[in-house]
Amino acid sequence: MPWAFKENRPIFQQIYDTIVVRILNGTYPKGEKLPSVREMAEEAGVNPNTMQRAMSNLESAGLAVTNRTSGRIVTSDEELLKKIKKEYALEAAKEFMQEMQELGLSQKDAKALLDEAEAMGK
Amino acid sequence: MKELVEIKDLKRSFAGKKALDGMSFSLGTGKIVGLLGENGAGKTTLMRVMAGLLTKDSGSVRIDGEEIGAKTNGLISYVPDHFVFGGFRKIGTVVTYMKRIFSDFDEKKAEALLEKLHFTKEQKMASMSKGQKAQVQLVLFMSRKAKLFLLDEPLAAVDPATREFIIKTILSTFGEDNTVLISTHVVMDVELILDEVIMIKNGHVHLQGETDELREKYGKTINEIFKDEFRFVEGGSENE
Repeated sequence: MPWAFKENRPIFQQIYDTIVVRILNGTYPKGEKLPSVREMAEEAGVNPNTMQRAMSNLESAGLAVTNRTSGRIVTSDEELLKKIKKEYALEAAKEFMQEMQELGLSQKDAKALLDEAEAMGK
Repeated sequence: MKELVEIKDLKRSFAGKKALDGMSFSLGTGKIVGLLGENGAGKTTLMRVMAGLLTKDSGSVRIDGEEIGAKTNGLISYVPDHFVFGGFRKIGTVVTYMKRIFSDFDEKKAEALLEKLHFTKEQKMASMSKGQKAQVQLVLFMSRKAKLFLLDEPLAAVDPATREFIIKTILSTFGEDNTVLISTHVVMDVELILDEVIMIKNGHVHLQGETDELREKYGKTINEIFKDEFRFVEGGSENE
């Protein structure tokens, strides 16, 4: 997932979401070291202070832990990762259903559409 | 804590025209700050006063607690919007010149950055494009160990690849012990790297704030806020 900043939400929140998705999909594997704030800021082309803020929030959420000797580590807490994954997936699903409703599709038709889209993708 | 920059009621006129009309703001250390304003808003005049290249009419400008003077000049690295090394023949000559003039010039850093850009010491200045000259100038001035960097329109008239390099150079030079003030009227180019913005209009501060706080408060990007704030015409619109 590339860094993308299009929305008008605060940058640190958008960075946060990108990092969370990268943790969930294993780009940053659980129990392993995250790149430094400076490295990530340069890669994303954002201010290091903003990246630092996103990282602090990551720690507050328990998704990363700072270890005195080995830096910032991605959590190995499977339960937490599962819970967060569910939250993000649910959010995406809600958005999808919302859009389908705006297009005038019934819930049943919207769900059927998912199978159809999956078949087309194969 | 003492602010790095403290400006109070700064005024400067040119032949009766007020370029700076009671400007006041302060800046801390460890920030990248955008100085945003349309052409003629007073951005260059402000930077030139801060850099000690232009006298003020009244008000106060303190850098690291000191009024503008010889002491503060050593703390500031000012990168003008025009090219200043036109008369030199080779890059190597300019590097030597920088070393002689500025005691805080980090020759190794400059050479490493120039090498990254595939410039050689033998390369002649006259043979370079506008964008290349802008890169060389930025690299040289950002290789000083200054407390305050003043970059006047560093992204004007450069191609997208150069823009990316300039942004990366700013990010890699910036640290906890310095502050970078970037003037621009193209907000989109710098939006992601700014801690704070100062929008100036008619020679004074129109709006100052932290970028993420402003995005949250207005529900818009800084670029959109900037456009909104500067859209209306001074002295009333035609419809009213």
